[in-house]
Amino acid sequence: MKETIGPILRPQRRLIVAAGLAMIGATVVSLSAPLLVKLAIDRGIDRHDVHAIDVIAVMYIALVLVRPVLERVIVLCSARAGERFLGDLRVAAYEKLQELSMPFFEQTRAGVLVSRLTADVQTLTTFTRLVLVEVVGSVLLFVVSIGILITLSPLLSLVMLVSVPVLVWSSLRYGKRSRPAFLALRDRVADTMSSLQEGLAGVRVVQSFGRETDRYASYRRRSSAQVSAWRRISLVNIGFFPAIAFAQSLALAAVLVAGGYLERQGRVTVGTIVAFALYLISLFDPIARLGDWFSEFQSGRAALTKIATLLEEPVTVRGGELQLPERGELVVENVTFGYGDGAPAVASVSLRIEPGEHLALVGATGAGKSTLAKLLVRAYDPDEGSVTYGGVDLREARLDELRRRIVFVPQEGHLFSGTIAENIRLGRPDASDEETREALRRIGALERFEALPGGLGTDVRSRGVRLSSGERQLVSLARVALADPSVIVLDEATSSLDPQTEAAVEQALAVLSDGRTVITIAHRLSTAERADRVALMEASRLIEIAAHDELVAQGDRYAQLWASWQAGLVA
Amino acid sequence: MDPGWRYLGSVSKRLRWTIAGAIVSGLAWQGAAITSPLLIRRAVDSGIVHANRSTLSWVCAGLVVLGAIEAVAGGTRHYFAIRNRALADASVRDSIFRRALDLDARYHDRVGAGELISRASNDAELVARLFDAIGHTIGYILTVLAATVVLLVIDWHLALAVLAPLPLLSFGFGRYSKRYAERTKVNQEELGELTSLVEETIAGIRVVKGLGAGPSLSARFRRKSNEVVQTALEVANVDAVFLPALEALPLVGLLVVLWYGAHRVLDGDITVGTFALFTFYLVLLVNPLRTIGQRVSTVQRAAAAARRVADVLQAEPVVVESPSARPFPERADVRFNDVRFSYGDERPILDGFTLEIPAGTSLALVGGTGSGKSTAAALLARFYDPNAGSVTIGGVDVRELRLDELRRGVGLVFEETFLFGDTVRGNVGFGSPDADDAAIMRATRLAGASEFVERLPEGYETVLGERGFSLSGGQRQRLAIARAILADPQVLILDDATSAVDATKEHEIRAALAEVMAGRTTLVIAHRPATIALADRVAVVEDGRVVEQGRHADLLARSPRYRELLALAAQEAA
Repeated sequence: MKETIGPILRPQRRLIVAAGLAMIGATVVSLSAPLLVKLAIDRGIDRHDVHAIDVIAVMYIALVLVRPVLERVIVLCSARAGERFLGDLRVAAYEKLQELSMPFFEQTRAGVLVSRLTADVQTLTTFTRLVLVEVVGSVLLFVVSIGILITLSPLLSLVMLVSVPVLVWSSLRYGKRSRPAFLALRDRVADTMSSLQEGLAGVRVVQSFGRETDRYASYRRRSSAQVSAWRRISLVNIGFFPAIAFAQSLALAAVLVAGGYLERQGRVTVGTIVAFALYLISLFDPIARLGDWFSEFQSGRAALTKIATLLEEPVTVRGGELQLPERGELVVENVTFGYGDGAPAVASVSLRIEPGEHLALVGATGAGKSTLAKLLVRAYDPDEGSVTYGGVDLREARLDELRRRIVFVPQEGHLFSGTIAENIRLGRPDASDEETREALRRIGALERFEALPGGLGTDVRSRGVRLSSGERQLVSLARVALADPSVIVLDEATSSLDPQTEAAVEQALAVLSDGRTVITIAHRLSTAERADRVALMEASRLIEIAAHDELVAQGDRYAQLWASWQAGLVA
Repeated sequence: MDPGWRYLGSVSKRLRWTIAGAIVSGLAWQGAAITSPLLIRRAVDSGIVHANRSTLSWVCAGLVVLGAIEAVAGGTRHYFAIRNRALADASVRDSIFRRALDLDARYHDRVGAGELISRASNDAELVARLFDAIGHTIGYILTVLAATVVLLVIDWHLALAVLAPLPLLSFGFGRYSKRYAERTKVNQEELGELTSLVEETIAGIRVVKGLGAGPSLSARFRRKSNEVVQTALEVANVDAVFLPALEALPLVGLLVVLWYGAHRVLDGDITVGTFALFTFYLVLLVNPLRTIGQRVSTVQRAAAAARRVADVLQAEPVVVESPSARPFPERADVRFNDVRFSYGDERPILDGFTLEIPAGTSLALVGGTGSGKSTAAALLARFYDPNAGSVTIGGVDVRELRLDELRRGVGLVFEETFLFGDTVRGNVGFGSPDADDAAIMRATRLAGASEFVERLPEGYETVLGERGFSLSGGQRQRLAIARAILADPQVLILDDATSAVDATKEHEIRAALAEVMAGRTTLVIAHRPATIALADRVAVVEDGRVVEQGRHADLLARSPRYRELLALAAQEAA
């Protein structure tokens, strides 16, 4: 955690030091008050010295004036340091997401990632804004109070030690019992949340089977378990915090008894006793308050750990140094790749795709065609063998260069909030309006989008609920047109569109394909029929590759598939 | 009254006993804390200054007793604080979930699961914090009030001088909480935008990676994050004015005691003990005033969160059971009578949609995206109610049927399947918890899923879902079909339910589908001709109405529009 969080915290060190110094100053000011009271009693009141009281009052005025200034410095510096740190942490986490490769996203739930960057950072806001200041302030108050007490009267300080056994015993017990209780709570919270999340995400299914009542009942069991886990924590607390209060009054009584005795012997003054009693409050209050902040402190720490874990996630796909040529052939050489420890998803595949060639990847679900496509865009690195473009191993190419030359277009057109134009510029944010329009014009979709009420400035709203799925696909193709890559790897959409939109998408695809290398993960054999060559995958292996007609004439696996596909069309 | 406050009121009512516990223990706790200075005064005045040993010893005994009361009450307060927090949190979350399960599709279309989850977690947490703080805040308020009264009684001259700035405080409170609320709102809005950018990025990570759009999105994120930092600092600036003022208040009081109080001791108006007592009280006030100041933000945030929660709870489902609801009819003839429907106030999706499916027969709906096929299916299961016209089953308007029987009588399989984090067995048996293993296996086999299920690491006991084993789209769809088959509805709707099943595999389950559809009123929405051909009849939908009907073969033969539709959907334009 130190290595990842440290560098993010470092730029704020001046502010943190300033806040710390102000905090020490403020503590000293607060703690000087009892000392001045002591002086007022011993020098002023006992000796009937009006002048001494006036001098003490003037000294105190100075302190009272300094205190709010220090307090303001604390609030401003800690807020600045805290918020900037959180801002940098958030940005670092987001940039980390951009660095991480596909396997990570496939293994991690989206909701978890979102909450790392939102809810967890939010938890830390309370942590930095309040908890840290309170905790550090309390600790300072505690330490300085002890120091003052000892210098004031070592004898009375010794008397105060009667409270120590109670404190030590209850702290040890608390430490031992609270940890498992908090851990159990965290598990219960996770349980409740996943049950809730599932019920809400699947609400249509729940309703269509009329299972609302027992979904709620199974959630309620978990929710109640969470309440019980809290109860266990409260029972642990109930033993600890009273012990502190009790120790405090024990110490107070001891100081008064011993103080009275010592005063009669002339070894302490009344002022000292009063000051002592006052300091006891500053001594015990922080401990009691630490308890109030304890659970917040714990959850803040947990959140920081979770974010640090994300930041420490190893990056598996890193860019190299080499440039990629404008045009080049894609060569897959003896590539084997597997997810985890199972059987390989792609086994010993070799394949060569010439510049400008259109290749269709076909095969049953799970045959490995999508995985092969992902290897072509370096979403993964092969376990064995290599993928090269224009003679350069993809692992040695610069990553930005690679993403510009070889573009992957997934099935669904995912939209970001913002205007249509902004969405099209996703891959090239510096493109001008004219370039954006030109990209749309090229794929034949300019008129369609200009006809919208706000034209290209139309806000697509969150996740594009206003555009139809065909229009979303067109936006995603326009992105590709603007990015102008040499190789397009396309995951063909499976959902069907209305005929007009389908035709528009087809036309756009045809324009884009012209002169570029296109590899399509084909879900319909009619797409394969139109490609230059067809590659058939079966059980992780490439078993047939040739032009459609040749394969059909050959009469093997592809020919059988084609026959059954055609039968499906006319049956 | 503001809905947020009203909601907080209703939660308080539910928690009234534990809140009462928190208040009583909070009062006892601080009550004991503020009585001890009175004893200290006695100790100083008679015990120490006048060397009266018996007074000193009973005062000390009293201090220990008070300490014990403070300890026990303080512990009880802690207990109730945590109890209130846990109960308030659960209460908010539970009622949101309960309400969400009852709300209809129109609401869920608009609000979305993520939004509801954030209400049930983040907002519940903010409300819970308020309830956590009740006992201890009330105790502190008591401290401030009681200290005021005690000081006034003991020496009103000095007390008035010390407490003069307090009225200023209440004025400051009002201004502070207003400004704090304004600036927090701006900050929350900025945070909301940042959150949606994160969500969109993760949801569209394939696009982002595929296009290499990372750097440009990072720049956008950095910009937005800076805005969040800026607005958060604006909030801190408000704090930086108010909190120091709050801290300074007891110090000013101490100053007055030191100077004016000491002069009064010298003049013989008050004793040294009283002087000590005044300083003691003022030191005691530091922490309560500080905490009360922080509560301003706790209350503001809780009220804002409660407003968002109340928003959800006040939403009324439009689809509700009629008071005179009737049982599900024996014969499930389905009729759509001149149905009109629109999702918002936009153009109607269904416009004069009329269709009849005689009991026990099947019908395929064919048409382009947006033609209204899925909407018609959703109306039949009464996920929505039509704006005009009616949908009837066995001659009875679906709005007149008992909702639970309707949902059980009409089985719907969606294109997008949702599997629960449960075993294969649990998922298939989701709608029929009483089904035995043999029935589950039979349904799985009929849906063409038994082959891959048996190959799963733990067969029917394999846990699926987000944290479980991940299946392909086609496999998921087959399990969803098995789930519907097992529920054995009188009316079955397959809404593009085989779209992700590989074309090369679909023929394998076609026979199974035919078996399921036999003798059952079935509505099929599909694009592949072979699947469409399974239905007894076909209806072509265009612009929200049925434009042609007939047998698949007849339509193929006589309707160029039908041929074009099929060809475009499946062949030429693919």
